[in-house]
Amino acid sequence: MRNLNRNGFALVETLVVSAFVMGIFTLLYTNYYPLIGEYEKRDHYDNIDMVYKTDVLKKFINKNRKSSTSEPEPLYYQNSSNFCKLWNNPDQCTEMWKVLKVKSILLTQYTIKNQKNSIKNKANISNGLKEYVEYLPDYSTNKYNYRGRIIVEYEEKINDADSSSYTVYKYATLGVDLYD
Amino acid sequence: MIRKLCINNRGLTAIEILVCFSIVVVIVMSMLKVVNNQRDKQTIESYKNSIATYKNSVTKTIEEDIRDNGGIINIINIEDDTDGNNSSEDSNHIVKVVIQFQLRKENAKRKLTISKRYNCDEDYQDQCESDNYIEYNYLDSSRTKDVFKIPNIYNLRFNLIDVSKVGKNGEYLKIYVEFIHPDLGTRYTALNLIHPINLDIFTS
Repeated sequence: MRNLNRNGFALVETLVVSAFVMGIFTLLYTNYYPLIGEYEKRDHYDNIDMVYKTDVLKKFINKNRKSSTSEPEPLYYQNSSNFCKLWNNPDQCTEMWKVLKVKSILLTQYTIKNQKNSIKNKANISNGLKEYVEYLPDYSTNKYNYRGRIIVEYEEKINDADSSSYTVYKYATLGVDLYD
Repeated sequence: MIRKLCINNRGLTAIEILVCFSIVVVIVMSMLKVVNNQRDKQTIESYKNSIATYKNSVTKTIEEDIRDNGGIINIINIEDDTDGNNSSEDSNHIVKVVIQFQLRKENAKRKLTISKRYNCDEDYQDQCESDNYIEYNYLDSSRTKDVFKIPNIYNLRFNLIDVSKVGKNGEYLKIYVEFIHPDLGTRYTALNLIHPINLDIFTS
């Protein structure tokens, strides 16, 4: 009775515990690591300068809206020529697109809850923009009674100190009166 | 009952203790590297936060003033004594870009001064903070509106300053002020504004 077990841990016990601990660490790592990526991505969402650039677009839209349109499915524009057809003063619109370094524009309803799925399923929309839309809240309360929303993807070329250069995409959104 | 509890009373052997210690040492050494990396990351994140706060307050002050006063209607003058280079042999070399513009409401006039010191080495750290600033003033009054000194981060200074009219006919005002820092490179900006010089261009 006194010498019931004098063998310590068996190899298999050690292995099981080690595997268990490794499993927990792997689980923690796989959950934690994407969070860093998410955080870094959100560095490029709704920066103050991008929001004010979007405000310039909003001012243009408010001044150049053509007659009313019905609330459509989300409309996606990857070049100025198609987007600028929608407004009066298309030349200024093209210039503005260029100066603000717009890459693409998405026009949606103000409340995007019901449109998130259709945006997700559109093949031509860039993944970065889809992720941004996914990140956005539903905007279910509408304090200023906006009928539409403009979601803009900006392209910025960064010249780093070591003379390498790369492109970053930044995103911003504002409520606008797109429809009557 | 007491005898039952004394199942294994051999204690640890020297070799077991040594193995345990060596395992603990290996774990601690590997964790030390990870912890140090995290500390560096934390420092860099705090730099990024300070820069973002700085940018937000400068941008908000200028943009809200322009917006509250009906937008820019005229650029009075742009003085730029930067030579386009981002380095200088003169350790006390300071350059300034000054832009004066007129706002729609009551013809209010504003003056934006961006001052940059080239040398921000250890010996010039104090001057670096006081010589790298953005000042936003009333042009027609001696009052100073706001002075934004750069965040107190070692070796941080302004790099590229670009104040110019852009667009086919110069219809937009661009104000771009970039930071440079050994750990952050040049990807962070102090100001990045593009403003239509006269909102009437949208209706013409």
